[in-house]
Amino acid sequence: MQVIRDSPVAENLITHTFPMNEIQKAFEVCASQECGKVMNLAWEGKTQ
Amino acid sequence: MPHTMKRIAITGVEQTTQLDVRIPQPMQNWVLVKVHAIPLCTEYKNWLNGSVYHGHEAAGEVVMVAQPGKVNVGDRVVVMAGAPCGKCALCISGEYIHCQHMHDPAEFTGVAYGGDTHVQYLLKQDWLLVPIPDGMSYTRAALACCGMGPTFGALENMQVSATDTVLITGGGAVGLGGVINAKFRGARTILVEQVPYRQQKGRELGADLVLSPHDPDIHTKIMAYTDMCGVDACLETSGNVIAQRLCINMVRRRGKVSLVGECGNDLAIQASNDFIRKGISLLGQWHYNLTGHTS
Ligand SMILES: [Zn+2]
Ligand SMILES: [Zn+2]
Repeated sequence: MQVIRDSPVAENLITHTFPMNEIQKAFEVCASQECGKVMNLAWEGKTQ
Repeated sequence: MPHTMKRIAITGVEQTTQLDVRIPQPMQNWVLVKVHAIPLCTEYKNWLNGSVYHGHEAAGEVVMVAQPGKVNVGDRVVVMAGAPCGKCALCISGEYIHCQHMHDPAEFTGVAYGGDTHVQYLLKQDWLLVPIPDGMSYTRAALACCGMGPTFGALENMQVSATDTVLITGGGAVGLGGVINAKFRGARTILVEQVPYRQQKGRELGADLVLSPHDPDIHTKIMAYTDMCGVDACLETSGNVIAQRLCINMVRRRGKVSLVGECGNDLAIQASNDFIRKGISLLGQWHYNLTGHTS
């Protein structure tokens, strides 16, 4: 956690953030390999 | 407090659905965490082939406990993977990820999805929740899962410092997290990756030398970069046998190689030339030691 707090570039590892209901899009990005870390947000975006 | 939540389920090849399911109840030291950030890891491979697997990474807020314990309601936490026993020597020494007595989370939580993280609420043993520093976002904190955790553990184990040169094979999220961890320690860092997007990302995160695994001069370039000695330490994150072999060939005498990338294929090694003459150490690393690195 120290590195995550203090590294000036840690945040840049996250390249994509999707709401939970766009999980399909999120998986597509992961499969494309054109990404760093992909995040899903559990409470954003309208749920189905 | 609602009674139901959304959970994501893989339902077939490249197919998912969102289900409304019951929120499990906390019991013993299993506390209820309202999930905010869900980092994606290898689940896309399951999505691609239609097999069922729903995550092991998350960060969120403790919203209910069954008994007083190591966390309080309102604590912001990163959720560590698995359901280790908490009692064996490995668990107590912080190496819980290697626990031989993993619980079946379904047994404790009472629901089949009890071990999943692709949910809005989950149960977890309180001692597997790492506090998030004030002011840090859930998504950033969640990098303590596979984004930066395994390579942090590997560099700790190999005692990499500013006098070292580190070779990182594979520039996915784990390998790129390795670049951040290695540069944070001041080490010179070589990244081997084939996808241009990830090569560029590696440079942006501080990699000093970025090479393609298909570069015919890769051996020469790495040796030239290290005064013909080879690198001090390797982080193999690609799970590819060719990359594993590259690490063993490129590490200097008495150097160390950490295997971080999962791989089910055999790697041929030779005792004399690979190990005895060179005197190298080949290490397995899954995550980082929980003791002493929680704040
Ligand atoms: Zn244990
Ligand atoms: Zn992971």
